[in-house]
Amino acid sequence: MIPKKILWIEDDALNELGELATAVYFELEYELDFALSATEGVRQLHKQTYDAVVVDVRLPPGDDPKWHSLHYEFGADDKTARLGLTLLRNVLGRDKGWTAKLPREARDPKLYGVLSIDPWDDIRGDLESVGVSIYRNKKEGTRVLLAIIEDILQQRNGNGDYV
Amino acid sequence: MPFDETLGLAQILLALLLFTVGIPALIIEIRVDESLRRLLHKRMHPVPLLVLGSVTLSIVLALFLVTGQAVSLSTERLLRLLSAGVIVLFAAVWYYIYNNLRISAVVREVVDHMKARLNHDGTISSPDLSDLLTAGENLEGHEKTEILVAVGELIQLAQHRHEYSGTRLEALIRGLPRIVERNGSIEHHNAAMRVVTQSWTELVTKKLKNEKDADFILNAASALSLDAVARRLESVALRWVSAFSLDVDADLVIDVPYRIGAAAIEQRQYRIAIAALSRLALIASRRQRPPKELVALCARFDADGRSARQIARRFLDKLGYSSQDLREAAASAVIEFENMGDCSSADAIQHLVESSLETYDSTHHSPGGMASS
Repeated sequence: MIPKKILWIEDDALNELGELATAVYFELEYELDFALSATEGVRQLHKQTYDAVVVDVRLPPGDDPKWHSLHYEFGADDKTARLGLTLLRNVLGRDKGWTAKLPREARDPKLYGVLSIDPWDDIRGDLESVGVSIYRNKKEGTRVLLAIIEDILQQRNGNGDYV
Repeated sequence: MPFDETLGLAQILLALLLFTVGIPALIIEIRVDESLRRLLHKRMHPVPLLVLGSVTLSIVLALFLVTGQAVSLSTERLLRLLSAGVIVLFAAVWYYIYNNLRISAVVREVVDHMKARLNHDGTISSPDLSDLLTAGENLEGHEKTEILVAVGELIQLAQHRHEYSGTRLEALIRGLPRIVERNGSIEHHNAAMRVVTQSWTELVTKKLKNEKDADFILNAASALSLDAVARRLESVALRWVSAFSLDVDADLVIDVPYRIGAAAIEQRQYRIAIAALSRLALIASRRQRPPKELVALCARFDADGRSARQIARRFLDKLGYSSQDLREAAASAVIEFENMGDCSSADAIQHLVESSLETYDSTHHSPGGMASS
């Protein structure tokens, strides 16, 4: 069995990385990579082809000056800057910006799901504008990461019905 | 301005010059770490300082000689010029201090020199590297990150040379844990991880993964990841677990998750240990027989209590090993670990065989068959 490759772009501000990832590890079906900032997220998407990408809304910029200036422009606060949404707009929207060289596979909206503490109603418009329909709230519990990964994979297989 | 006033002004300026140069120098001497101070002294260029010293001394001497004496018009003009010179000297000294006597300027100079030499003849200057690593160890914050980035750039330069054959990076790679282990933060760990994984990717791309540099890179990865576990940097340790792709050659990289897992169990950081066990299980799922690292990590889980034992059992059950498979793998793993001098791993496996595999037998009856979950 070849494990599915999963990328989780998550800032780990609440030290929940290990807590939510453990359920995924037990499955023995997924190779889980982490990116802890918007910079790292884009870097990983350039480097590797993934079967599912889980994105947090509140991301720190990382070390790329372009993300830094955006972060600063939006108030220099992860909560208000919402770089996760900017990342999705950049990767999936019309304005490709500095992600223009990403591989075609990374531009499929069905590849992405959003795992956040921001309520669905607050980000719905942004997600729908780029075609992302999978969302889960982190407060759902310790198996929520596994659940959203399964959601994305089911959707990619064409039998998803979400949100 | 009358001569006496000019003379007085010159004396004041000179005192100010000595004061403003002397105080920062004194502060640097007191505050900077011993090894950094030695590095600064070693890298300081003597000529500008000698010139500065001689000029200052001459002015002091001139002022001393002319004080209270009647002087000619030309001497007075000369002294006025000297007064103006003191002001210029004042500015020049500050400019020099700002540009040359800071540790970041020294580091920049060292890195530039190393890059130039790497570009020229492909060699790494040992004294330069030693100074760079000393600075890296002793600095903190963004300055430490900059040195890690510089080490990464040097590694890339070395790897991009056409004659690179996978045997040149030892000194640079070994420096990474040295820099991070002392006062390293998450930012530094992340920077070092990026350098290690980039250099590994380059090595693999050039089909040099069986050369010596591969060992140095993986040893550095182990050292850095163990440091992350010891400091309870969970996100860093979890990322180290999956830092090396299994697509290339899992045999080469399998030691990294094993070491992380063993250290994590010792420190009761079970989520990291589970991540490591999962990684080893993924490697095992591609093979006929369980790798020795998986057996050893399961043994360490087993020895750590009932709950941890159940976790290891869940993974083994998922992999579908029979007790016979595990016994055979354990027997050869004990020998291999003993041959490697890793007695603690060998003992843990021995204990697993003597105690827990008995209960594993009772739930997995069919030797050679698949275990039920």
